[in-house]
Amino acid sequence: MVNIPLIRKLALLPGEKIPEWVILELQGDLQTECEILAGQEIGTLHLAAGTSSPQKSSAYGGMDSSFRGEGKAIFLIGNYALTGEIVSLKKPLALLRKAKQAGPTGDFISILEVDAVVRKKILFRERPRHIIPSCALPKTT
Amino acid sequence: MPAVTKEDSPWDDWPDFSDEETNDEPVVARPVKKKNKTGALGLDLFMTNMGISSAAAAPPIPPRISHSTTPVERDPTVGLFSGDIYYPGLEEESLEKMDKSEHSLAPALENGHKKSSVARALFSLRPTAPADIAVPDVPVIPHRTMANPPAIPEVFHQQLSEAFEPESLPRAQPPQRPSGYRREASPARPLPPTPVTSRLRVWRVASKTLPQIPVLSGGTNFFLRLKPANWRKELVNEFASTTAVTITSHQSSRQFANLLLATRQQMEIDAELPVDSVTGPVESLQVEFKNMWVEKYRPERYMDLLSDEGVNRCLLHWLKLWDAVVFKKEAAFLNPYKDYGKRKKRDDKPVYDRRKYGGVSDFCFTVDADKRPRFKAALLCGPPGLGKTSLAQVIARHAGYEPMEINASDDRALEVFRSRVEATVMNGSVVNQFVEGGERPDRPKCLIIDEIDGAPGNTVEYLVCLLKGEAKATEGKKKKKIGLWRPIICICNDLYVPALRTLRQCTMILRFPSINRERLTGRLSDICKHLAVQADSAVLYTLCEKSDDDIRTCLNSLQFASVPGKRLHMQDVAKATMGCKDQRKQLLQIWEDIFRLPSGYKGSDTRTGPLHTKSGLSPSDRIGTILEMVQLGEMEKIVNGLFENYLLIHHKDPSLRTAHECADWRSYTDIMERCVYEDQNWFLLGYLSFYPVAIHLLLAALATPRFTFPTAQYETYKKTIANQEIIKALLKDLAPALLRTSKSENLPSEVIPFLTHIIQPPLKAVTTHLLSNAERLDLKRVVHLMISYGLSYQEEKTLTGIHTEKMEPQLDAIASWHGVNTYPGMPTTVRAMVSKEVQQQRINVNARMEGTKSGGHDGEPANMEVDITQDAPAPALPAGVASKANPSTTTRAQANSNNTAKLQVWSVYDCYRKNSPATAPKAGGSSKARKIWFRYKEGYSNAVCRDIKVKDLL
Repeated sequence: MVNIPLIRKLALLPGEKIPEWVILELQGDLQTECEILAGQEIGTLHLAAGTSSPQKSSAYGGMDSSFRGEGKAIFLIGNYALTGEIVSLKKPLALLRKAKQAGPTGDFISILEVDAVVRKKILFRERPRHIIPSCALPKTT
Repeated sequence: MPAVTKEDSPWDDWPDFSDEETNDEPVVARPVKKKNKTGALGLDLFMTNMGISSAAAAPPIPPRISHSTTPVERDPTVGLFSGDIYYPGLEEESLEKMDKSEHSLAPALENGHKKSSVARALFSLRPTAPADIAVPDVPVIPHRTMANPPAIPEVFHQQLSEAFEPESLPRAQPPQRPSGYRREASPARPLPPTPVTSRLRVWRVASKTLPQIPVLSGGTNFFLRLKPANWRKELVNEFASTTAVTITSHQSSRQFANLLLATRQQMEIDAELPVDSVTGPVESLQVEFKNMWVEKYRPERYMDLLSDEGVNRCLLHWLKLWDAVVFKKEAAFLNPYKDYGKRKKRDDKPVYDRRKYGGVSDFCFTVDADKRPRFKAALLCGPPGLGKTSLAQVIARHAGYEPMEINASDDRALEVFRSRVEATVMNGSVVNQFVEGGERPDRPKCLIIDEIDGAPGNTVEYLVCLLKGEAKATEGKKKKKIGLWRPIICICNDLYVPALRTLRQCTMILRFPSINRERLTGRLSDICKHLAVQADSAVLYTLCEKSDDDIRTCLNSLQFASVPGKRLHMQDVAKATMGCKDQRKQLLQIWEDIFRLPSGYKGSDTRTGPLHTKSGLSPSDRIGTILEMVQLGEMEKIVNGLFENYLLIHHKDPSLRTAHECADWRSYTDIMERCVYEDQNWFLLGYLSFYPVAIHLLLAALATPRFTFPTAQYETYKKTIANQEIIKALLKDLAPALLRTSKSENLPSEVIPFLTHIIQPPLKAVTTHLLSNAERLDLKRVVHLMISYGLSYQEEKTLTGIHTEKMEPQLDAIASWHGVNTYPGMPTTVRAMVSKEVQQQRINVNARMEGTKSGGHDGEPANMEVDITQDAPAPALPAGVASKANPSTTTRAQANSNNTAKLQVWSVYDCYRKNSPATAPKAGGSSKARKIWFRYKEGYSNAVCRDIKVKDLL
């Protein structure tokens, strides 16, 4: 007998949508001296607002032509600037949470709840660039 | 008892005059005709002594006003002046002032009439009406005679000439100039009308030879007409039989005038003379002068033409090419110069002589597929009065066409023009049959478009379309293309009018050279012989010379000056205002004349000085000539040309006195220009003309002057505009804190020259690793400044393919001064390095601002802080990081303050301040904890992709 878990949607208010998450795909490791990464701030993610927003594009205009335009992102982690792009996933993913629920017979059965849907990911596939020259000044006193 | 006769006054409603009838004809001053081709004599007509008046062209009979004392008793030889007085600006107030003024009019006028009414009677005449007024008792001071030059401006004039007299050398007295430039201080201001006799005071502009525009004390102009001495007698005799009225009042004088008018009209009708014929004693001669000589002696045949033979021949050839289409027969020649051109004996090829064919290339004489000439239209261009229109008509007739003339500046509307052109040019034999009033209705037409340079642009466009065969017919449902089957001859004065640009490309252009002076003189003498006017050929030659060989002007002047049976004297012709060409001199010609002594100048006599010549070219004559020439021209350009060239003129001037005086005059003119154009003190305008005069007297030499066209002003203007654009661009990107103190006025002088130096320190063209500490500081300073001022370098490729880094906005262009050694700037490689730094720093600043704006990282904005002084990139963490993993609040505050300090905008002055952000030691610059960093995995990904089933997760 095959145990078919129930997949339940979140209880949504009318008009509310399932929250959509975005995957950040990095080629590399996030390292920290702390024990866990959870709850820590990684960096700043800048999404390019396309050419329609001159303010933003001018802010980065001098830096990288690849950042201009829709679907581009810059992720600043430490001294690195990662340039990426937003990619739609071929198949959307659902973020599931395993939960227990009391079944009709009284015993608990495992069900999966959909926390979020992932339709897009930001793919940082390019080599990150230092935003600090490695030749920076030694500390002056 | 004065007899005041008045009739048809514009002030008919005045209480002094009882109005039995009102004037049907509205009294409107006629506008000056734009171009009076047949009688372009201008002011001369006002001074006619032959009875030919300008009003001859005006059809309606103008009201005649006779204002005279009992004329029979007066001695006509006294030389009284009569005058047409035009006084448009006479206001009621000023008339009342006249009434109140204590000055009395002549006692004869004081019999119960208000003075103002007399004045009105005087001034209500129109300028175009040939009104005859004798005003013996009314205080008119007429034109001063030449021997008695008038008051103040003449003083100026005299002093000017005296200033260059050798007796007064070294110049004792500078030419009198208005001390202040206010109206009150000006010497040009006429005196207030104190005595009676000065009420109509006339004063002249300085030159003796200029057209005189007399000015009344009120500031208005009036015109006087000289009459022969015995005209009054004639006039009186004319009416003596009809009336014996003693005129005592305005009313009766008005009636008398009506009577006179009626009588005269009746007489004219009886005599079957044209109504507008001229009054006066020369009516018997009127028949003789009914036609203008210009019309009378217009060339009839090809051989009569005075114009250049090459042009004539060329036009005729071109017209003959149309024979194949128009007359359906081949032209007598296939090659236009076959019969005329010289042949080389050897190869029997016609030698093309450009001079013979008016400089037209033989391409013009080829025909197209329809056997029409290559160019469907000919364009004659040349100065007025050379006989262009006559040539076109004569040649058209000669070639068997009926010339049909359109004046493009008259028929300006496109529709009118189009209908006329189409009616003429289209291949319609029907049209040709029913020409009204044509000489030979059966002849094909040749369209002559006169003054095409005055035509509006769309008219010319249409014509171009027609010539190119693209024009569409307006009528009919099917818009057929109009074929051009008749020749078109266009005539213009100025070939380089913008509207004609397109037309020039599709027409055969014939430039009219000037006319052979000997031939013109010969023709004039023939005409004189024919009319029994005795004139020396020397006189006629002078006339030609004066008019620049303008046939029309010559003939008009000749007709104007000559009396049948009498001798024409040199002084008649030598009158300055007569016989001058109705065209302004070219600028180059004007400059040359100013820098050159007149042609008759015989050289200087050491005893009397260079200004005394035997041939009557006295300084005052020369002043007059230059003034006259200059006042017609574009003063600004003339002055500019003189100013740019006066030092180039070769002149012996060891002590630089002349140069000094020239510069002095220029500054004086400049002040005058300012007064005229900024304060609108137009009465000073006349003084501008004296700068060229002074230059002429100071610098004129016998040699042909070499000068250049003045371009400096325009170039400066262009440069100013460009520089202003740069400053505008700079201001646009300037940080607000700097904008507060920077203005477009002080930026170029106070900031930019230093800024361009400061941001280009002598850096080595190496990577930033290898820079010394001092150099790194410099670099940092540069980067900060460039960001603050919104500067950047932009990569550009020159034409030769070399990459350059150009400063944007281009401050180098502003800061480079002519003649000053300019700083060459950094080499391109260094610029590229700085550019990179600037870009990165800019990103950081922006990122920081983004972060603070979003508010998400309030606590630790320094987290993302990236500073140029930071030692190492993230992977190699600074040593202190580990110990400061949990930064204290004070450290954080430090970091924050440091952060805000870095956000400060720098100005030029800040960067060398002692506590400038750049040089200030970084307190907590590197103490920021970096919790997370990123390690990039280069190369391939070793992630394994595997399908996961749901059941695996459970």
